[in-house]
Amino acid sequence: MAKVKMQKLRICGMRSDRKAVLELLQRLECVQAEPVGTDGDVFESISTSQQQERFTSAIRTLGSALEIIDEYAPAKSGLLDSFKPRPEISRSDYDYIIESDSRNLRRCSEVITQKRRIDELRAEIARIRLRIDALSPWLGGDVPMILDGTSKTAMLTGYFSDALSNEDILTTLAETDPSLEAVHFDIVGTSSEMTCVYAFCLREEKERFESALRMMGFTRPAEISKSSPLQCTRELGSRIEKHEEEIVRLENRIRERASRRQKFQYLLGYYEMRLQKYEAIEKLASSRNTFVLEGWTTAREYDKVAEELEKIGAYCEKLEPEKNDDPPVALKNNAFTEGGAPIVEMFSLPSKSDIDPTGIMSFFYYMLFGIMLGDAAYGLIMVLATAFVMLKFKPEAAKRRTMKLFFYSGLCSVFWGVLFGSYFGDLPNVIAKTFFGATENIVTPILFDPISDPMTMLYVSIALGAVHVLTGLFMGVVTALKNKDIAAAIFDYLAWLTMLLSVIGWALLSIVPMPFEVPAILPKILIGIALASVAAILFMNGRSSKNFIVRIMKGAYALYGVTSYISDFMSYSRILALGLATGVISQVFNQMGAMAGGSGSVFGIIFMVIICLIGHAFNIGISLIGCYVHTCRLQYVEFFGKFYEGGGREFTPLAANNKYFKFKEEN
Amino acid sequence: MMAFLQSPHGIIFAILGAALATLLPGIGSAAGVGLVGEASAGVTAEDPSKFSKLLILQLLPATQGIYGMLTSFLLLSSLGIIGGSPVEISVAKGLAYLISCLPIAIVGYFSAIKQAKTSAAGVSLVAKRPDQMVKGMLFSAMVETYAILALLISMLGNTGINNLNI
Repeated sequence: MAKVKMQKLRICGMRSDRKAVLELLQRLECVQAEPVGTDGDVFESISTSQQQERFTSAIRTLGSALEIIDEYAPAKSGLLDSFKPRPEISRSDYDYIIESDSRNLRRCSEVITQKRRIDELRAEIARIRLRIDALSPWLGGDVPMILDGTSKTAMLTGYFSDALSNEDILTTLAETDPSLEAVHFDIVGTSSEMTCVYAFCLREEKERFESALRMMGFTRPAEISKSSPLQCTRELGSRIEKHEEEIVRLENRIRERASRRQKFQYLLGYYEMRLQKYEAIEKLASSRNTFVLEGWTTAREYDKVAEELEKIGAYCEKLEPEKNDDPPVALKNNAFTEGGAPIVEMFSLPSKSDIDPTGIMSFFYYMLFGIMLGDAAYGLIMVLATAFVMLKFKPEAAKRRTMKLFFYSGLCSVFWGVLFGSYFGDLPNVIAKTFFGATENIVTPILFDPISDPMTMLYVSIALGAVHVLTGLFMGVVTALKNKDIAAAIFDYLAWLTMLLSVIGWALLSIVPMPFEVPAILPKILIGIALASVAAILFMNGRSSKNFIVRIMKGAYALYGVTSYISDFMSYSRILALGLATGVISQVFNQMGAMAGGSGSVFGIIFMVIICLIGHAFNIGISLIGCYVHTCRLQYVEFFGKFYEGGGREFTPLAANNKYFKFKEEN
Repeated sequence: MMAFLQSPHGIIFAILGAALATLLPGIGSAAGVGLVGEASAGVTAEDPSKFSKLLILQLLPATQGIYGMLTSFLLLSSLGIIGGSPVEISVAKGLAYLISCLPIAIVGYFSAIKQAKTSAAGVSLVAKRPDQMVKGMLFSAMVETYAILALLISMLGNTGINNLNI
């Protein structure tokens, strides 16, 4: 609704109290530290990179160990568990875990080493498998492949890249080198691509034999077994078995560590906290005995901070923000508007000159989402599902806001769905006609049916769009006034507002028949206002230029921007398109269901129920994504484009809590 | 020529129009969703936690197929092919339906593929800067605007032709 007012502050204290002060600030969670400029003479900033390095490496160890544990023993969690708030932990339990940090860190390192060993073993197994594959054609050989022969005979191991018989080989050899006669070939294995042979000859002819063989394409195998190929394969196989056993053993040891998962997580949180503290120390200015910290807190919480600091002997004072200071931004929302906060944050937080658009945007978001979905039953499902999650799990702020977004959007869908007479599309009418012989629709829309009357729906969409865009311009006026830029308020925003309003009013008067007598002067007044607005834009929009011609040119260019308003309005036709898409898809499934159920048999009815369940579930899923994306677009492009800049810095106070746990409040 | 235009078998052309309106955007969306899916799978392999963000990006070019189906369904309903008795229309009227279906058929096809490419670029944006996902989503949603405009014209055209006495 509004930005939280920020107070700049300065904290001074004795250097010996530094740790206590920072820990206090972490506990209070409402001070964001900023770097303090140092003169380099008395005050200097301290480098804590060494400690930071230590914490970062601990965080890395814990993080990768947790990842490994999750891989082997996934944490059992339900689909909705992520909505549960973080566990709370008491100070004493926390201290107990922290005391054991070196032991737990060692356990984590062990997990990492074990995982690395598993990876090595896996790679080794793959290598052995390759060797076994290479040996497989040689299994027929009964002597070691490495054998050289006897004192009289030489043995050569190798293969021909072709399927050859003993006769083929002998014939080719005789052709290559007829002098070689005392030779023998043992064919150990053949396939269509290769013939594996043990070749024997007289030892003194070995060299001639070898060169003759080489000419015939005889190749030495890459894998040469020291024992017989069969035995070697067996040995390799048993090595694989041994490796696999070791892997199982290591995996089990990693799984055993899963019982410590939460402790590791707490420890990770602890190191993240300490890292944050040391990062904050780098921002301080320290002299030999004192330190100075500057930063921001919320105006509301300043007194509390000052009081608590005084208790531990530190001094705190308010600082006047300087002109080029950029205070961090926190948004304050009520129960209704907090649903819109994630949408604003996703775009960008408001900058110093922006106003917080969350309130008005939330209203439009819910409304536009509602009309785009436009189905009462779908809306009700959203409302019930989000209400269930909010009541059952009591999620923390971030998740709760997303739930709120869909809760209120769902409520609006119910509203529009009732107006359009759409409950699961036309399901009530289909059921009535199929099973109860109704000839008339039992559910009729209160307003109109967008599917049978798309033109009316188009007018409604564009009218809503006009309201949205004009509100955006109005917000522009408010923003400019807040920044005390009255010229911008009048000529950049108000002139457009009056021009568009008067043109729209005039067009409505001349096209739509009015139920009352329109005074003849009214259209003329409207045209007058429009012309005056056009003149204001033409002459004043380029007011930054001194040169009159340039100024008029700039004004004319700004006026040309009127085309963008036309495309803005047309952009809202997506409301019609998405509404129809939702409606028509549900009609399709209802009709398919009616075809199945029309027979009246029990199977037909069961079939119809199944078709409707699956179909509508699919339709809800795809429609929700579509509505979410396109409502966002309408807010970001058409609405924010008129007045909102963004670029604010998020308020990130020093905090003791982290994503793994929060401290139990103790008194 | 006039005799041909007035002859009563125009329903063939109307159905051709309905078929094209589902066919082309459907093909485009299927290709598009597939393209973004391929890009997303790679990113998911690196970081499975990005899955839900990527799924949204992947689904963005799916809408053209739905728009096409929507046009066809409304047309087939008004012709009585779905849920009623088929009406007899002239060739001229059938051709009018066919022509009126072309915007969503053609724009649907091309915009689905272009949108998919923008979405795929969004996927690499999410891979590098997951916090900027919304911007990737918006870039992609910009392309869809033209499919929506085409859908509007096709659909409003078909509704108008219903009342046309030719």
